[in-house]
Amino acid sequence: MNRNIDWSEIVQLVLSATGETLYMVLLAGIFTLLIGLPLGVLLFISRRGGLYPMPRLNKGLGGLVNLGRSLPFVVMLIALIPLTRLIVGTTLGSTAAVVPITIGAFPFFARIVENALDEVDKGRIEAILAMGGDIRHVILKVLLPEALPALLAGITLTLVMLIGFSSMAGVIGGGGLGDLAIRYGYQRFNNQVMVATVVVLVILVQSVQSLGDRLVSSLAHRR
Amino acid sequence: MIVVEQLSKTYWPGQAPALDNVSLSISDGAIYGILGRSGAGKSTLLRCLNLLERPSSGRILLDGEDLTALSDLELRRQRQRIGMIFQGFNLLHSRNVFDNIAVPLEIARVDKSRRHARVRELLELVGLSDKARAFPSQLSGGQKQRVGIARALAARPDYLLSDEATSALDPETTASILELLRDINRQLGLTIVLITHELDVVKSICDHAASLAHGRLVEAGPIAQLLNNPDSSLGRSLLPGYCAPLGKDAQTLELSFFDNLLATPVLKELVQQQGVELNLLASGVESVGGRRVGRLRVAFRQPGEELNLTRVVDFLKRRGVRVERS
Repeated sequence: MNRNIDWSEIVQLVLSATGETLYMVLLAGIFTLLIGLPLGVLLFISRRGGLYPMPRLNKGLGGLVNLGRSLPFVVMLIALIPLTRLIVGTTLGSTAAVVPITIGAFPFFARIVENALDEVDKGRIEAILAMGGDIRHVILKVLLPEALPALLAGITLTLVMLIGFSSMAGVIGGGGLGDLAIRYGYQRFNNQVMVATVVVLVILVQSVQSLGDRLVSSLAHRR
Repeated sequence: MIVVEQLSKTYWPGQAPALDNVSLSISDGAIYGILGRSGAGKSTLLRCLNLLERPSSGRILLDGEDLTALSDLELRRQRQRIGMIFQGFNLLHSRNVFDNIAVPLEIARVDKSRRHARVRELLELVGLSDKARAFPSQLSGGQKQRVGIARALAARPDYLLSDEATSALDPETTASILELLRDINRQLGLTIVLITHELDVVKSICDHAASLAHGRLVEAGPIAQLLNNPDSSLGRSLLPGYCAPLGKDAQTLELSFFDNLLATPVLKELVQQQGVELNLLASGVESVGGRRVGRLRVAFRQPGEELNLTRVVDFLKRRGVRVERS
């Protein structure tokens, strides 16, 4: 049952799985940012009493975001299989996993963006309006730049979450470190691969977090 | 010229209005101070002037153009003519001093080289040329307000609105900021509308004043006129050494002397001609609205007979002294 495999083989396995994980996290991260950032801005400005109130749209989007966040990710992973097939053409592999990962992550990130923008001093928005600025000026000159440290902290948080999501994608054969852990650690009781997977994941998360923290504090420093 | 016509603002239906039928006009080149306690509606009034707050009814005429009737685009263009400074400064913390001052120019699409030249000019004007690369968090309150003023002036506005701009500053810094505002008013001919709860601010730089209470305009006018009007409570509160009367005293008067009268021996003549004796209880001299004003609290006595205070009052009024009975 427990076939012994040598270290070079383990290194090979872990390396390629790490590559797949990074691929999924990076790609899903980009999509999450591209969808979540505008959505978060829209959620913020469309609020009742906001910069561009659209209460109905706000309620609708808010409901959708909450729906996306209320499903456990494992359930969403399986529930989204038809959609994944529609978009990517297959449900297997890392590229296919990017679809459910993105859909699981962007509502969370959109809320983070909305909250970060809400923390920006309202007086600064008012100052821009008073000098004749429009909503585009407010978003580009005040909201996003002033909230940048909070947004970076949110991106860090989201990346760590994405690493977690991408590992769960192993359940549906998505590849990556989670897949490796399931196939070798769980199904074949190979402790060496299991330990190696855990070590790599911990290192990954720690590096992302400390890099994010450093960026945030370097920004906060000069402000 | 800013004309406010029958302005009312109600935030919630059924609640007392924040502004109740306020009308006033602010002529070009004036430094117009609006006084009132917190909650009197002065902040709402100021924010209505550039429509940061939309009035429930009434009009705001800026050189004859009704701001409340403008489209969004036209309104934004008019707002570029109205600078604004704030109690909390409202500088962008993601930008350094130079780039903060440049914001209105970016909005007005001024090209880069002219923008830079203008910002350097403004840094010079507010005395912060050496702080161009500093971030707002590295500045003192007074320096932040100077940046705020430079930013407000960047697009060469005709009007400057000041929302309690000195209320967060210590007295010395307040004095230097007020001096800067007065210089700007004189050099650039900028019309300044400021709201404050501090009488000293109005005394030291304003030439016009208005007072608000419970959303209503109580008094408004040129300060010189308010001071000369014995019925004006705003005028009285602007006089030096103002304090609440100590209680009814039939023999005490409050006397105010303006400008040249300060050097005239009015009281000496009073003593010689009327044979009264007087006791000085309190006195002070200040500059109010650009005029020197002396104020005395004097108790009178007539040795050997009943004091005829009416005669004393008549004598002083004839000589141009502002007289109030305690």
